[in-house]
Amino acid sequence: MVQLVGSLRKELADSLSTCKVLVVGAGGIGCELLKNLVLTGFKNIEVIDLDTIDVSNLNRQFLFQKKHVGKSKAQVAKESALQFCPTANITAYHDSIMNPDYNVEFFRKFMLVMNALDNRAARNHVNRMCLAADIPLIESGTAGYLGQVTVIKKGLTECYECQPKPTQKTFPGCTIRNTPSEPIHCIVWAKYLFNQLFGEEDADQEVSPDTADPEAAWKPEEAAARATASEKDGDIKRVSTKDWARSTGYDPVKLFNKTHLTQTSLFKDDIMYLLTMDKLWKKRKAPTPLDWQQLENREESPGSGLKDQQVLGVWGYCQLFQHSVETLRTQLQEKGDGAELVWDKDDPPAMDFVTAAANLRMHIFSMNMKSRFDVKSMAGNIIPAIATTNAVIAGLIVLEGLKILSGEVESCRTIFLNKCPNLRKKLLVPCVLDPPSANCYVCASKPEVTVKLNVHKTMVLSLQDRILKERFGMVAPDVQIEDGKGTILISSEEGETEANNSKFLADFGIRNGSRLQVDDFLQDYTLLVNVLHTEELERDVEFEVVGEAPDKAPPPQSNQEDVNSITNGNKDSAQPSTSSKGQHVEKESCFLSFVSVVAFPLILKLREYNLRIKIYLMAL
Amino acid sequence: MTEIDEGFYSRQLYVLGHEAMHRMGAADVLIAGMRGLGVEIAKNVILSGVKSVTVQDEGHTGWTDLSTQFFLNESHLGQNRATCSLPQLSSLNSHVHVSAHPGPLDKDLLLKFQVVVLTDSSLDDQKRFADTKDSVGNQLFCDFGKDFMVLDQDGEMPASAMIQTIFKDNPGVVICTDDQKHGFSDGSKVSFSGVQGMTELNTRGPWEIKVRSYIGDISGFSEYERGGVVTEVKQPCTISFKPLSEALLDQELLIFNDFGKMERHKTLHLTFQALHTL
Ligand SMILES: [Zn+2]
Repeated sequence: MVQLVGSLRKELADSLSTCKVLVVGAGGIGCELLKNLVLTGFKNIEVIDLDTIDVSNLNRQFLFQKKHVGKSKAQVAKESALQFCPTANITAYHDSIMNPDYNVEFFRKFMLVMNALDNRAARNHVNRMCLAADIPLIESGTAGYLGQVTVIKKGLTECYECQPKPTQKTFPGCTIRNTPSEPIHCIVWAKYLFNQLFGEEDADQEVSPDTADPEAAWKPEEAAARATASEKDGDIKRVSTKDWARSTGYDPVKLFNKTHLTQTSLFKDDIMYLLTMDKLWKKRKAPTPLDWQQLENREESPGSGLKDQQVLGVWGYCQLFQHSVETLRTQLQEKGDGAELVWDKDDPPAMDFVTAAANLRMHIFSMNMKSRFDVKSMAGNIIPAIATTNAVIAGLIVLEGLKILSGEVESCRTIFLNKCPNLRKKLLVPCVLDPPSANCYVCASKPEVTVKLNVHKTMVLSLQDRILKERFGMVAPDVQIEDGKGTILISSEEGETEANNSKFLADFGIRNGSRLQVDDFLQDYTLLVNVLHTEELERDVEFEVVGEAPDKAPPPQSNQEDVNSITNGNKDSAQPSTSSKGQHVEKESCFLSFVSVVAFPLILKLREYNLRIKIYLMAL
Repeated sequence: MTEIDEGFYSRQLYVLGHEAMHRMGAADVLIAGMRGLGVEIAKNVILSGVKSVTVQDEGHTGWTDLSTQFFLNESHLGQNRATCSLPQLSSLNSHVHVSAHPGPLDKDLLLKFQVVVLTDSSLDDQKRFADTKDSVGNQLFCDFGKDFMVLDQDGEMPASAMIQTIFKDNPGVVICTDDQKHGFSDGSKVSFSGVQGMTELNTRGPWEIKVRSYIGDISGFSEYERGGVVTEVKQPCTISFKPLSEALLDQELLIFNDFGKMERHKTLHLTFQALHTL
């Protein structure tokens, strides 16, 4: 088989055919990357992906076709890539990379690991595994026209977690439950409602009015009037939203409008109750309750244009609510007793339900309603994606990989792919890699953090789930208190410390200044947590990491050249553009074919002429 | 106007928007040269969803093609590159009509397309065709013609604001919800949507505005009730591209650089020209 005669040095070409590499993710970037790897001459490739193929993948993940929908991405990607190079040796895993089977030993098998992931939890994890195994990692991400590639090498460069990433924005419970002011508040509420009705009930996802809203702050004597107004005993909190829904037989009209005095309802009674919290509406426009019977069969002009882009009228959303509740009820019944549904943006009835419920609430709170397309982008955290960006990024990953395998890690760069050429007329902007941050809570020699929390209100379970797993990215933490006795607070062995879960930290003598040693055996990672006790956390905030502003915004795009760090390209933080109105037109469509020109083959073609050049953008 | 397959194009729609997708859905594209570079471009253009793609190549598959042309394999050796690539290219996207043209490139063929991409042509051919019509050349040279209309100059979301109230007057006055910088300026054009009551606004326009926003005579309209959004209407502008033969002589093409390696891109530029003499 002829391979790139003349374009790669012989030693490099030989090492490609013997070295083993790992590709984590077989999605948009992963498909392009697998193609590039086999064409470049990599012979031993392992690829892992948890996902199965969805229709919405097919317009960029070109190794997949319609007939593959529902099958394992890793497996199909392997089979398709083998057609390009039947002599390659590809192993596919349909699994999560966070599964303990893929331990440090597993990672040590590889010369190089390449991430083609779409979420931060997995990126954090692979980052730690590669640090633990001391294997070079190429990290990448795309969102729309934007992309980024960077190289992580223990002790030499920043790791993925050296720079704090903006945390996902959350909204205070009372905004969601009482005083939504933006469409996103209503969409979040509608997703909570879905889980409350059909999915796993979560105490943090309450949808009924929040009587404890500090802003409402009634005097006690007003409480009686409020109770009368709502024809109830003053406690709006349902025992369980699901039990209530079940008692109505998931009757859409009953969920919408109450039919019995002791019941409540989503779009009428709950809103009337909110109206009684009159302090809330002194400076805000008060909501308007809806009544099913009054709306029924209201004439509405049909929308025009694409189905997904239409904004229906109120009665249109009432009907959509009705139909989706009926469909979901049937789905739930078919799954049998105790079954739960999981919300999925690509599941039509689930998406219809959220579109309808969110829009009804938007109308109630005097907001302009949104099309299904717009609601989907916000509810589903959709990462906008096109084939060309992925192709460019995958090409760059291979080029960085070749540098690493040639022993030239120092010449590796972080490369940003921008939407528009910068002042130097460049679309691709390389930046020198920064050295590791001495304060990094992952790659420093003795990682340490300080966490501000209330030891009387923080339970052991939330220390484990919210702080250690969610915030610090651990998979199975063990926690020991540095109290001289080595008290074990949390053990990753099943059955050992479950009894501690619902106790508070203070119950174990943890107080201001206490130190916790946290180990994650799988990640070969030890973190020292200093506890800073405080009574003064904001409402709905469980803890704060000291030295880190909450909801820190990412640096603006235009400063990329000055920011030689991994600040964008982490897909999960990229804001999807809801650009249904953004008329990106002709320039862009030509631009598409134009950008793809920068992609991989050109680079190799240039190398064939022994030009040691990287990538230049020559026009616009 | 054909329907866009929203399931298939879901993630791309969030990047391009429906308007651009419709325009792309009307474009016929010719990609000349089906080696590694051509097939990569063809793949991406087909996935993105134009109306049709024609791949042209007179040449036959050789051993050296196999390392970059991923849709060719040993069984294709000695056969036409365009024809052999066709089945796999077609299967990428059932919404795009893909065809192969194993014959030569000529002016008549070129004139059938809105976009022509040359990937494997001699410089003479490139200059010749570049003068013929709007085309995209293989050195990332972009020539969209003398009057290329860019409908959206920055690709940013148009400015928009929620309406608080509208005074029925001549000129009409629109008050936007406070706490928001609306981002409009004098001379901006805007359209209205979702306005209740004064629904005439939703269907007419665009309106040129002055900030402190008078929108023209609306005293005959219905009373404003509530709701509505005012959105900037982007104004097209025209960009003139130089033909390739002119641009080759142009120093400006030599300004892109890589961290001060001033000579390098000049060398590169000459190298590209030199490559064509090989
Ligand atoms: Zn680090």
